Amino acid sequence: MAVKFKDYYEVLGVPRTASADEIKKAYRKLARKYHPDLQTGAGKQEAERKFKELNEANEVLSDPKKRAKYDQLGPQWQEGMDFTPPPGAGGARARGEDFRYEGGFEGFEGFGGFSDFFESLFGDTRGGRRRGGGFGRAGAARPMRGSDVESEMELTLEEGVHGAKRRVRLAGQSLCPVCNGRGVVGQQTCPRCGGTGRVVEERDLTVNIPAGARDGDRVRLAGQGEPGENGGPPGDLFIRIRLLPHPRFKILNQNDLETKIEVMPWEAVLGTEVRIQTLDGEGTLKIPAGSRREKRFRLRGKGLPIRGNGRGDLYVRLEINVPARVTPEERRLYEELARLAKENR
Amino acid sequence: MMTPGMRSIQKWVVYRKDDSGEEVCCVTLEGLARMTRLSTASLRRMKEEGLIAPIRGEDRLFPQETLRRIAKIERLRNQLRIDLGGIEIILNLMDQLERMEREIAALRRERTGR
Repeated sequence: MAVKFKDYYEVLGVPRTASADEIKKAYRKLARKYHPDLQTGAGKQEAERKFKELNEANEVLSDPKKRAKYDQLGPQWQEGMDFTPPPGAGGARARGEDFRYEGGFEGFEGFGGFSDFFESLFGDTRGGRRRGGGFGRAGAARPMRGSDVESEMELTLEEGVHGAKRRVRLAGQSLCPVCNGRGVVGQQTCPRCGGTGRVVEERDLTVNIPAGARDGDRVRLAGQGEPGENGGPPGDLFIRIRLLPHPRFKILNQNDLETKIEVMPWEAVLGTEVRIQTLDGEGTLKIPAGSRREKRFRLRGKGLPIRGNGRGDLYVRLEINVPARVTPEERRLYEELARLAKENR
Repeated sequence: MMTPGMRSIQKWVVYRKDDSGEEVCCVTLEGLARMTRLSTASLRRMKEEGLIAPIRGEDRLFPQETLRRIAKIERLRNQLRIDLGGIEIILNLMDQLERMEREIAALRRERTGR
């Protein structure tokens, strides 16, 4: 397909015999004049077009290899002439040549890509070009996976044990929806992200927490991390589980729980049966006669789930509740008990 | 707003109410560094030079638009090799120029009655 020939020497205003230094100087001077960030109003669009042209001319003429290839076309070509690339041209990228900006200045991708003429001669560089925006990122041309992101989610013990489904709103970085992360729209800097290719966005996600989640576990949401570079895949979002302190149960170790129960002194002496709350609901615990303070009862299988293999235990610690106030009748009975106890000693 | 119970470890996106009570999306200094791949020291230098400014009453919290401003600063720095002092002068002059252009356009509209 024929494209319009571009006279890069004319663009930079230098003769074909110009030295590398002369090209560099001419380029810098014109770059300062036409830099789109230094223009206002209607002049900005024209400056961006001109700036892109300058960038392309500099890209070719400042690189001896590309300049030699361009010069091989011969001096008979003039700006705007219909140009059909010679056989073999444009295949550089396809053959795997690592094509990168190496000029003294940073790339100008923030203000548009290269022309069809450039790509017919040096190959389609879209896949491997540096994303625009002006953030000086040397060697960022190849696709790179986005970074992983880690967040925390606080769950109750019950949610961790039985599993939970939670909707969360997460603020994070994502590809600009207007320019799709390229930083440019057509020939212009993307108006939404200003050339950064990234926007701060809120996302609603539904997170399924599997049953048996423990404190410190991580749930992976594939592809929900930071967006990739140059078409690379996004990173993952890891949600770290934090189990909130429970008002009733204390986590003893990875698998076991502890709770306490209070009984009256006569219940401890005579034995009783008490109702007890476990993670699975209410149950009954038999307190044998003569149980002392701090005695621990073990309820097998009522603790935390052990990954892939049953449940840990729930330990119930006994506390004796001494009544702060007693009725005259109760007092009389306690005195009687004290007298009897003294006699029996 | 982050959902209760969800807390980003990086905590680099924060919402603050502005004077009109609207919620404004702000980015922490660390968040800016992460998103622009510049060091926090470089960003602090930009702040000291008056190129970027945190929101009122905060030291390390910047409006989201700061990202675009940093992109512009970096383009001028990398592409035209202008130092931060020079960029500050340029950006101030550009702001002034844009303001004047807007005023001229408004005056023209006033004069032509359109």
